[in-house]
Amino acid sequence: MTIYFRYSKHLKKKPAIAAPFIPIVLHGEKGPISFIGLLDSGADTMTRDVANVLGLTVEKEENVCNGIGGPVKCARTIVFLSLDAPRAPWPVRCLVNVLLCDEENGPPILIGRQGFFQHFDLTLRQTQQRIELKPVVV
Amino acid sequence: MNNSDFFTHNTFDQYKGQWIAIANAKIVVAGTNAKEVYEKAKKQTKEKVILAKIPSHDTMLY
Repeated sequence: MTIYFRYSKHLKKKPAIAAPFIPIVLHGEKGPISFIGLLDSGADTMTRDVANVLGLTVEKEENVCNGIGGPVKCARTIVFLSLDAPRAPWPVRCLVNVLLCDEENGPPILIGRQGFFQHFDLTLRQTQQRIELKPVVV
Repeated sequence: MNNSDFFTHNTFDQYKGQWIAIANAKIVVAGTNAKEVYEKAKKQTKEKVILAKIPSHDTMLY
């Protein structure tokens, strides 16, 4: 079973740039909430306000995430993530870095290789602007 | 059109750097804090809400 999504062009930049955003559901203590997340080859991350809206418990120990924009303080949490799509499989358990940065300038939810990619074989077809996700059957 | 399709087929330049809450394939609330945006949206509608962060030029590299 393969699940397909289209790339999104969220800004009117020229040339138009499309990115692999997908609809997801994050399951926290306050129940499931739907989000749009960006597929990214780095670690799974979210900003602190997302952790708050989900009611997630964040570890007290702080670490440092090294991204392309430089080091950022972060703390870990666990979240269950599912695709917001028909025929989507079960939620998968993901270890996520909560970025302890200025939330207003923070990135979207980044869905990365640390948790999500372990559960899906992922193909990005840039020329077709199509995302293909195939659940990994263990 | 569902909420996800609405996000895929539209652009959101006026909301750069903000969270948007989409319900019934339209933006119902926007703001800089995800929790506030979600809670306001849930007060406004009983329909399914989806939250999306619109990146600003400064925070995303392409």
